[in-house]
Amino acid sequence: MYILYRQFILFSLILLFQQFPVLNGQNLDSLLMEQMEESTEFTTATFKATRILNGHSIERTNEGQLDFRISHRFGTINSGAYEFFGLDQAHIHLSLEYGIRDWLMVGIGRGTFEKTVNGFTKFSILRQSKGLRTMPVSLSYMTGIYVNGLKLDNPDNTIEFHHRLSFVHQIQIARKFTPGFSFQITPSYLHQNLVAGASDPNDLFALGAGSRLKLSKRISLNAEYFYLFKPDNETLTTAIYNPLALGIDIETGGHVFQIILTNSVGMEENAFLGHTSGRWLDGDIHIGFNISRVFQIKK
Amino acid sequence: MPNLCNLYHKPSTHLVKKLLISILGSRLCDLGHIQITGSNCTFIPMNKMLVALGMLLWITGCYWDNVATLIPEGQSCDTLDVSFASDVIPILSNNCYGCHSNANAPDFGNGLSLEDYADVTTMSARIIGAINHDNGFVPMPQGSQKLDSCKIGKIEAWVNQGSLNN
Repeated sequence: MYILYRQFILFSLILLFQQFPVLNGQNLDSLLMEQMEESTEFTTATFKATRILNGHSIERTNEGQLDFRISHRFGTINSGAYEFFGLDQAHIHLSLEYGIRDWLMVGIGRGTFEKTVNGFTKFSILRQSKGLRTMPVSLSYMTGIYVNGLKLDNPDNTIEFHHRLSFVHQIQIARKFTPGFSFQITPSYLHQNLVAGASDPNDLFALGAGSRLKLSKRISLNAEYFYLFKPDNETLTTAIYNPLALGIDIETGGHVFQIILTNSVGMEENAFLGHTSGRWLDGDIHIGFNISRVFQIKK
Repeated sequence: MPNLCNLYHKPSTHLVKKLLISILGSRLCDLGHIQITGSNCTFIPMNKMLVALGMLLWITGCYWDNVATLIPEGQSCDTLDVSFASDVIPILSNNCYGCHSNANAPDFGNGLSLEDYADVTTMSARIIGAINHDNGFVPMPQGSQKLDSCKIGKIEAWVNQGSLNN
């Protein structure tokens, strides 16, 4: 009786286990099918917004999306409590940015610095991917035009409209190393048709680096630095310094909110590359924020 | 305009096409924007690429000019003979009255107006600190570059000469 019982158990166990190879076989089949139809997996959200902090990130708005951006930079923290640590002197930049295609984005804006009107186009050229096609980095190209809107002191009418223009060409190369860490290198070129002094450079090259470190699902820590290849400050009419920005990204639904500390008051490339007059070590730090609100215009 | 990806898939005898394929062919489909579905390969069509490239070329004339050469200091910068009415007021009017006029000061200029002689003389030390971007002063003009050295020099000279109402 006992032996029979044991045999029954054994038999049923064998039957039970037999199920698994069959199941596994089915899984393998479907896995194989998936393998055969393997697709390319593109990396998304290398950065949360189209700006790391001041400068452009690899990201762009998707096709049919309109991004309304409101940015502020206040006065310097070292101006003291009377000036509310700079908050009494607000500089703004408003812009509307639209994704014509998933790979092409355009934007226009208006900022306080030199009453600048600006426009830009950003092309996504490479996308980081794995799977069928492996691409280690994402690459975009951004070009912008900036129009100085200040009343110019022009006694002999020697200054014409073209003197108000500045241009920027910039390449963004970024890689999302882990889900929590992205890094970007940003070679940039700024041309200003008019500068103050004869020894000031009209052409300025800069190499930027930016990164994003995810702290939680919604919050990340961002840093951005541009090294300027410029002549010594002694020879310049106004001393300029390398812009450094530290900030926090907070994502809430369709909004991305960025809180920033930076030594640059300008929010456009021509301003923070060409005219950053503050130094972190002297306490010339501006509090600022960017708000990005994305609307789906075209389905 | 041919679709570049079609070029890649269709063998062609045309020399330019052959060249394009040999140079770009293998790399083209490595670009991020190709979607592979079955055997069809879609890519940004050439004409759209050209429109995009054309937009890059909106940037036409570049100039390499500077204010110092266009407005020579010798002609316009005279700090020996400065007058309140003909030198100081025009500088203030062009650069400061956006906020610091009698009309705008209460709203935008922190209540400080620079229109009247008495106001300018009482605030002269503060004005010089602000336009020189000295420590402890709010740098002015706000939101734009420092005034050029000639304008700063004229205001300083006027103060040094006794802030005359001339």
